Amino acid sequence: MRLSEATALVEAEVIEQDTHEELEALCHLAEQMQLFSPIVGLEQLERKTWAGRNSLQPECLLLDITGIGQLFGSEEELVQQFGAWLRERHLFGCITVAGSIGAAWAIANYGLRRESALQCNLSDDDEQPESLPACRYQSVEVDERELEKTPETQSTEAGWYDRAAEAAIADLPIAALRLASDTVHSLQRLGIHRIGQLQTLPRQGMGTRLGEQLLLRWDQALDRKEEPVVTLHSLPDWCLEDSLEYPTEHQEAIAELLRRQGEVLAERLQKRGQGALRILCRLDLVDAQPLLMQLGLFRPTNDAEHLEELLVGQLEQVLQENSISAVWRLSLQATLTADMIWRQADLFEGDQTANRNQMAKLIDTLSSRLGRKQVMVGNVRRESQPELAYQLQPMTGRKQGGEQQDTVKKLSSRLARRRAEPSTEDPLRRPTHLYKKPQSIEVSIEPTNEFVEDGAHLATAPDSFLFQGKTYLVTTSCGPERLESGWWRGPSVRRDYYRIEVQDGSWWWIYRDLNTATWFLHGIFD
Amino acid sequence: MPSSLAQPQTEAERVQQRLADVASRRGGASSPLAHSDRGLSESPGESAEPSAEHSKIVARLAREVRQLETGGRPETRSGISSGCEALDAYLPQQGYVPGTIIEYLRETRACGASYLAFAAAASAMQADDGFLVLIDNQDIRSYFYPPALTAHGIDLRKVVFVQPQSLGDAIWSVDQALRTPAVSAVVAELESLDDRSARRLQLAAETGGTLAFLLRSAAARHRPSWAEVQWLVRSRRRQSPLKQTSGEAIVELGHENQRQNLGADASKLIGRELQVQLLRNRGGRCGAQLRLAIHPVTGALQKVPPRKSRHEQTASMRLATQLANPKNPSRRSHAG
Repeated sequence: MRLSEATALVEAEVIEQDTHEELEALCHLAEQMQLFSPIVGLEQLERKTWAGRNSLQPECLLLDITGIGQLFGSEEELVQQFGAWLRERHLFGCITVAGSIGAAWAIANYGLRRESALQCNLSDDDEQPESLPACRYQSVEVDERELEKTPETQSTEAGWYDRAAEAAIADLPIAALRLASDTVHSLQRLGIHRIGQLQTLPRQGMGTRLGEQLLLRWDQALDRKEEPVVTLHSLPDWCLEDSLEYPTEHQEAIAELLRRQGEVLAERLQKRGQGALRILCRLDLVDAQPLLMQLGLFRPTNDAEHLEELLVGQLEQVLQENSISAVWRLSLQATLTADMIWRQADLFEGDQTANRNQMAKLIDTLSSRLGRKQVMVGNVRRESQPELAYQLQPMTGRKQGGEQQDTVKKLSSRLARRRAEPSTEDPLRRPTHLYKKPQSIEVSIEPTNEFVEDGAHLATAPDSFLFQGKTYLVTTSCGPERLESGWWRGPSVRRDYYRIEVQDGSWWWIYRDLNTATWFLHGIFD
Repeated sequence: MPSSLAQPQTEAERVQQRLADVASRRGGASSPLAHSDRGLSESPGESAEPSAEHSKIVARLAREVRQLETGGRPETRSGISSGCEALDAYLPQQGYVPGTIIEYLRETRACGASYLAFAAAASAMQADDGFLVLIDNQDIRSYFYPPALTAHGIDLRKVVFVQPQSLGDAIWSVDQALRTPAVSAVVAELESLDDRSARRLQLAAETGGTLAFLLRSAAARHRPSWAEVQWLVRSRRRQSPLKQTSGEAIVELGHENQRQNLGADASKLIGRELQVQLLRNRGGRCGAQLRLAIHPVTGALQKVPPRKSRHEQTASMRLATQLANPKNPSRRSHAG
């Protein structure tokens, strides 16, 4: 169903999907999942979107749990604990344990996920979320009796696993093999709808006729070819914690402990070639709220002496300002770090390249402190609705694989575009500042200026308006400029915009909503 | 090396004192610095012509003061245009010197200060092909509108929009941007700025050689400032209060915007008038007031000649009428 149709049926707040945010959340989850396995990664996508998927965006997390099940009792125990862990975070997971990534992916996406979606659709709306299971899971297991029948060698055991996987995925649709849409379409035309039916086709001609990818995926699903889990490297833990044998108020002892922690932190940072940009220190006090000290640095540093000076200086200042009770625990954490490696200058580096590198560094620094959504670049769109006439996008983020993208490359590709956005407006047509949300104003129009035709007010600017408790008299106005949005974007937006000058010479941009006949302040000409 | 201004300021005061002494010995003729607050438009009104020797001394002392005020910066360093020739004429380097802070103080919220800052930023970007960083206001519910920048000829591919959540973050962002030589200009909304932060920003601007355009309210007028140039901007009401000047509609049809001009007449487009006052100008005179007009089509900033008073407008006309009228009794009697 299209958005315009959906919004016509129900009144709903529409929030656009933020793929970057989703990816960020998935990577964050992957970092947390290292609780269960040291090898956690995202599914590796290809250039083309897989059949059955709408976007080129990773949706699955892969954990290598080889030999880990015993630590949790058994693999089933591990899965159950994992499901409970997800539930604590208000997440629902479709989990499969299998001998290969391909088989696990196929069962999780086409065996469990489809079923779950179907059940959710069929279930009543009133059903409490608590009644839903923590997760759905399935394990591809070898029947022990089958194994006992044959002498136990490594190769035969592997063979049994192959057969078990083959049997588990045989009934799944062909798209469960992570194939491109055109390959799936070709196979369907040949009458192949299930994975199990692939065996009916001669293997020799399959690669040349339907693509090598089909054979690769099939072999990967049956564990005939290896497929590694590409680990998502998480940030190292820059946290130090020391509990004292007995609580102390002695300032020099606390300072000495902090100095030692600073030294250890500096050593750890040096080993990884990193420098701290922001350091958080926490003093846990007896019978009092913990005391937090935050240290912000302009440049990354891992110099032990420098860090010690800053930390001890800050501590002395805090202790002077507050009379604290005894400290029983001291923690130090570098909450923000950056590379210390200075890039070697190119031999033929021009001004342009140098500029881009400097700008990329600036954008990275700003984004790391303020957040990626606070540092953006803009594009102008060919839209008449003012709030849609531009687009602000964050410059930093992750690539599809989950790793951080190179800001220099992104900046260079942006600058390499053929042309800049043309200036379509005269300088005084659009305001310099736009309100995030149009501000409601009360207007008054003298009856002599008001034109009414067939019961509808015709275009005329107000004589005065009330905004934030102050009345502004309109001395000059320019308009109306009628802006209407396209029907395909849902309920149509129809507005008459006026540029008005008030008694103190200020310029404002107001509009009258033609649908509701109400007035709003939308921008200012500063 | 950042300039240390504590010593030069006292030195400057001493030279100014000497200058005032020379002026008093000249018999009331005022020095340019002594009357700096009276504006350029005002004439000193001295009666006696200064001697050549005095003029030479005054010129030399004025030069010394300027050098002390600008921290020994060479005078030959060329400035970057402010985007308006009329404003450049009042600046000692015929423009803004890279690595300095320029402040635009708003008398009212929508007075045109951002317009002047954008014009200057566009000029700076053109001069060294660098980037522009826009630091938004943290408190107000409005933000810089990107299409307004394209109207100034600013390439949006080279603009970074920063929306900090707190004043501390905003000052830090300005500092970081100013330290980056690839940035040509930083336009920032900084409503409150203490002395220490302002000095920090000035040093950052000197380090990176970047121009900082700070947009502040007129309340900052009497506070200490590290700005090189400070303008007070106020919007002037148009003289002819007309309503309903033009009408235009844009109706979105298909994928193309088709603009239907409903009787819009180019001659009826509204231009805008601003009044700016030079409050602070290191190494130059301050106090000047001038009126600027924004051309409604090109957006160019032009100086508006001062309006003649009613007496000046009508005096010559009255005289001509009197001279042309032969029935004037006084004239007749005089002729007789």
